[in-house]
Amino acid sequence: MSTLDSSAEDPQTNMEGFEYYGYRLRTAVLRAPPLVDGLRWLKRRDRLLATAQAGLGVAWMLLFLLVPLLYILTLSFWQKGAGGVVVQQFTWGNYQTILTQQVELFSLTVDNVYLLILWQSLKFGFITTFATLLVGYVPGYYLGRTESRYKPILLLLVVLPFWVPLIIRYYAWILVLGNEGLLTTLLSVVGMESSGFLYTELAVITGLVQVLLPFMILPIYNSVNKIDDSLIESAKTMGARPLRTFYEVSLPLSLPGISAGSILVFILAVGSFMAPALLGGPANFMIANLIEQTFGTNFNWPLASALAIVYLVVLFGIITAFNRFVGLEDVFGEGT
Amino acid sequence: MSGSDSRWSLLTGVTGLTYLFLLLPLLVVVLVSLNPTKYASFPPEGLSLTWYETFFGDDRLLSALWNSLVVAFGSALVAGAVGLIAALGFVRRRFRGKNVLSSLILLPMLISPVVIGVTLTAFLTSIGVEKNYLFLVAGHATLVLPYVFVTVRAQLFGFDRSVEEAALTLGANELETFTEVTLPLVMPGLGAGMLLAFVISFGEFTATQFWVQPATVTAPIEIYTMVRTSLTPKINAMATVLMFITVVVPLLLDVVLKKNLILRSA
Repeated sequence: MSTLDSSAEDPQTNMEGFEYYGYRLRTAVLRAPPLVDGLRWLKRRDRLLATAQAGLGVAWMLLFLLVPLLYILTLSFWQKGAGGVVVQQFTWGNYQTILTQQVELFSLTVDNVYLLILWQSLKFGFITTFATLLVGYVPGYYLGRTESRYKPILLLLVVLPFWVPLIIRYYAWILVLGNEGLLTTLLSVVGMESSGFLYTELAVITGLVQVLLPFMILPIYNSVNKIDDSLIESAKTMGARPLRTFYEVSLPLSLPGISAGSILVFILAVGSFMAPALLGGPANFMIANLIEQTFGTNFNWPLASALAIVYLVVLFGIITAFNRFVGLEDVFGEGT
Repeated sequence: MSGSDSRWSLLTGVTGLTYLFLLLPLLVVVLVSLNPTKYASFPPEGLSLTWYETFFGDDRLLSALWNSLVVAFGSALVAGAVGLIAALGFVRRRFRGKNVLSSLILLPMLISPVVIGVTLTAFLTSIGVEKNYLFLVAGHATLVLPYVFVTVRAQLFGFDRSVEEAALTLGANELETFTEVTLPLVMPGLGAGMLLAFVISFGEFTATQFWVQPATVTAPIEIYTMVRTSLTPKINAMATVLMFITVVVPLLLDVVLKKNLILRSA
């Protein structure tokens, strides 16, 4: 690190060539009178600067998230005219449709189809969370307790899938589960014939579990990793069997990780669009698919808005309920 | 003792299986992309680069890839700047309603991207904004801002401010202190956040489907279209190229720069 003494025009540095001239150029620019004057002006208005800093992020979200959300709240009380045009006339109709919509499927009448799809999203969310916990606890625990020198690489392998575009991670399951896919080929070797497993609830859940697994493994790893070895040792010294040690010490201490992972996985699973779109059939629709179809295919923006509002109300209900037990900020690993 | 040993090997075995579940499907994509036949077969009937040739000869797909790179680069830059400044404000300043406001910035992580996509489209088209690159960059920056915000904030929590005071005492002004001291010290967090922002934007499909018009179609949109219409093996080649860009390139960067950015992004 160089000295930053302004009295020395040519500071004693261990920088060479390019780096040195870069430094000279930067300081020349940064000490330009207009900039320094501006800085003085700002320093006298410290509160303004503080507001501007934090305010920039807040303003961005206001403009691109909150105001648009308020707009669709309004939109959800307007009507759809001919050809997808929005008629700005107040109506409860969109919400009534959501509560009561019937659908004729072949000679079968399905009542409350929208509510059914909302319920199905929550159901998929629960199943996915439970399955992810079952599959993810052991590796999370293993990573937290292992003394292997490959631990950094093992952790990296859990994080890496985050870096693969989601669409590719779901598409990969088409190659595995599809007709003449990896799984059917393997099954035919042992003499079992199948035409693939795609377009089923099982395929959707499998995709969701695999994609969301790192969100469960990492928080569990974090809380197991924090457990003081001496606690486990002392439980053993006191004569607790390994399983009892796990139930009485390790499991309770990993609960923060379990709850953080579960809420993340649940929220992300409920809002999933791609899993049902790529791996499921029409019967496996979730709320995100319904909103997309209503907005994109049917051009019914008011109804799509109402659906989005209902989804958001349910989502915030879940988050608020959960917040009573675990702070949402804790889920992201940092306090304030 | 042998009891606990066997229990531990059981844990190791189950962990190994989970890794297989997590990573095998991606390996299958790479493997199948090298298969010369029109239909996927296991084991592959040979190794060839035919489908890569088809992919690199397809102007439509290449321009989608280019669009993705431009948008990802742009949104990582925007989210990096906004996220850095916001994180500085949130960590170092005291103000009321901090918790609620930081939750607002984290919100795009939790809301379904379909809803964010629909919402922004409805709002921006209602005020007459066209679906161009800027639209895409603004939308993607909104989606990835929380990730930059969180990683930079984490870095700032462990920041020793006495080094900044030292610089100021030694005669540097605030701007110099920022570029010569603060920025280099938050760089690991900022770099990790921006890299993550790039990768997420690059592969984003769900919200993006509402934000594109024919000239700005991105690579994930093309993949989705191909998956839904004709399951051509070009998808595998394209998917492998995308994975190379989002996984192998950052990994190499990581090794060369020795910054451990990828683990930090978790």
